[in-house]
Amino acid sequence: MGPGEIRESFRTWLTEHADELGPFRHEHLLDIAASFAREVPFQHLLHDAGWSRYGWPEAYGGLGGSPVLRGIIHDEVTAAGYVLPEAFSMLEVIAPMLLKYRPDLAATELPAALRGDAMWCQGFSEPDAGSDLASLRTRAFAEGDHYRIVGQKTWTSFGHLCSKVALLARTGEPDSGHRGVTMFWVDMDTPGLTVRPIMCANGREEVSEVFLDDVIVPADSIVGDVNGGWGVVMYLMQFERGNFAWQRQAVLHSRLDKALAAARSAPQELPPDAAATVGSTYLSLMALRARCRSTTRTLADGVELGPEISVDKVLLSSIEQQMNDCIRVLTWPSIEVDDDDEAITNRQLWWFSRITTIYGGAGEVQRDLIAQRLLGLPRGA
Amino acid sequence: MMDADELALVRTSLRHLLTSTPPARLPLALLDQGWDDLVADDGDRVIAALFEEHGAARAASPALDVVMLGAIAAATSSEAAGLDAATTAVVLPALSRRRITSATVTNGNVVVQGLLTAGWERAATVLAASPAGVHSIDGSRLDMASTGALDSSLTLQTASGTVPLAAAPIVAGHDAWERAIDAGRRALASELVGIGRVMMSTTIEYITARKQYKRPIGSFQSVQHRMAEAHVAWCAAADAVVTAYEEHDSWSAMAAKALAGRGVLQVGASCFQVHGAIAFTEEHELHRYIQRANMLDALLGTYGDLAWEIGQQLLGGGSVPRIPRL
Repeated sequence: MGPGEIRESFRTWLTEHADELGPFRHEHLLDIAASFAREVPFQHLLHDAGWSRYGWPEAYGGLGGSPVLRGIIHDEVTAAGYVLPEAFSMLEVIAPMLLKYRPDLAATELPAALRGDAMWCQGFSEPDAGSDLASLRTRAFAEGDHYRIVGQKTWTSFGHLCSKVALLARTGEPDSGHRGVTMFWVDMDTPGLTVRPIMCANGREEVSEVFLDDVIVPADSIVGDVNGGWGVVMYLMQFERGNFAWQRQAVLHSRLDKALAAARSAPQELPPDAAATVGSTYLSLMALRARCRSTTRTLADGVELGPEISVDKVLLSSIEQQMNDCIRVLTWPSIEVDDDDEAITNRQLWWFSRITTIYGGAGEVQRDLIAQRLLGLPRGA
Repeated sequence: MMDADELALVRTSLRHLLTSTPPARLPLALLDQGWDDLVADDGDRVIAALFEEHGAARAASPALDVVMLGAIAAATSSEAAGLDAATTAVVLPALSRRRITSATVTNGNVVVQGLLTAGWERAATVLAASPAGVHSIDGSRLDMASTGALDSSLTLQTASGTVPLAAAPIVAGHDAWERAIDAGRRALASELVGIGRVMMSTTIEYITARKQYKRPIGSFQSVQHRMAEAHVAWCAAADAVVTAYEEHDSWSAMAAKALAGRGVLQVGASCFQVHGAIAFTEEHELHRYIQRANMLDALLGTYGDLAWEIGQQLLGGGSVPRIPRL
């Protein structure tokens, strides 16, 4: 089926299954484990009917077609008022890396992940290596047919719910910077690996610490080349700025739909500048969608992107916050004082949006990259 | 549809045309260059290129009339006389919140109050739009006066006067005028993008060369971050303009015009700041681009007005448009 046909058929399917899909109109629970568990049946339904398999290669559990088809599914799920499963974000960011560097792993791992039966996380950041990721210290010692990994990761999204981690560790000398790191695909159940969730300011255990005490991994768990991990991370980052950003704009349009509906039912609570706020926010969202559509199309054509994707990242980060601020205005004073499910969800999402200018590449670093690599401005002293 | 090389050639020849043709002669010069064929072949990209170069060159011409008349002609089913941009000018709405018409009909008279762009003196006929439709009026029946002191090089004129309805026949419907407003907004948005492009490139050159504290001022992080944010705002404008040409509707035209106004005014302010004092001199070019950007933002809906309009429509009901469509 072509894109137009898929869109139309999917809309029909969503309408026909509205009763069955009812529970999936509601937002994430504060208990993240329960929230993910509740989304699994939705993922199963979408998968088994084929919809979430479009745009993924047939050899790896998909139904083939361009990745742009996934974008259509994201648009339509959210436009129909359903909550896009959070696990989808993990697929968009991590799966392309496996497909490119370890298609054999993708063949064994992707089908289950596509169905919603397996989750993956990224083990990159460390307590002493956030923006300065190249200074990471988790070490992987080569010992014949295996590596022994020692160290600690932090800010690992959904870490305590995942079965696999894409782990970045140092295989070079301590001072080897970005040239001495390697990407490993590690089973979270491996002896010596422990996970500790971190409660975040939004009331959810969004991220985890991961401790590695002599974790033994087979040598063939390497993704890409030994000491080639930095390139793997850079490759992965394109999809965080591209495909993941597309998902986010789809979700943000839908959240605005819901907030506007709430505002129409209580117009007396709107401030005098509500129209300006809504309009200005919508404009930023439209700009992101326009940018993102172009980026995802380029990625789908197999073209790798350069420093221009930092523009996408800055646009995405700022609209996440601007939209949540707008939703707060439209639903006021719900986020401040209410305790119904909708208010709890909007409140935790408002809080979560505060971190969007930091995760995946802090805004300050993005601005450095834009200025120096895109605009060609000279580096500082 | 042209390929990239053909479009680049067209862009170069348009740039040359804009800088070498007196404003009043521009519509004829475009026709001589095969404008109608170019538009028939790849209208959106050609119009966008014309207006980007118009902005980059800080040209003042009837190019907007050409495009708006073209839109009226395209939207009008009957053989519409007097839509030749060589002899016809368009009366744009006066600067006024949320009004897109340039005339009203009262007691059997058409009362015109609007703006004419540079090169207006070529036009024997002007078109002014009331809520009833687009009226064709003998230009000599209207009073003209120069205006637009924020950017006098734009050579805007006010056009005003009262004409009996019999002498101001309707030649196109209000819907045709709305198409013209859409086309005009897209064109001005493209023009703003062109202005922004020049401001960014000349500023980057300047801050790379200019040294203080023994290093280029463009190497300071605060300067870099300001320019990075300006570039992001410009990109948002440029992408929105591409969307507007693809979608070809009022919604996306409003959005593009708003994002272009907002973005390029931010670019102007940032570029001005990082120039230090030199850009404040009359001799320096930058303030002229900033003036032009401000006036173009003011025409056919400021970014504030259009953002408000968009917000009002969203608050009014319906689901949020997912634009551009996938």
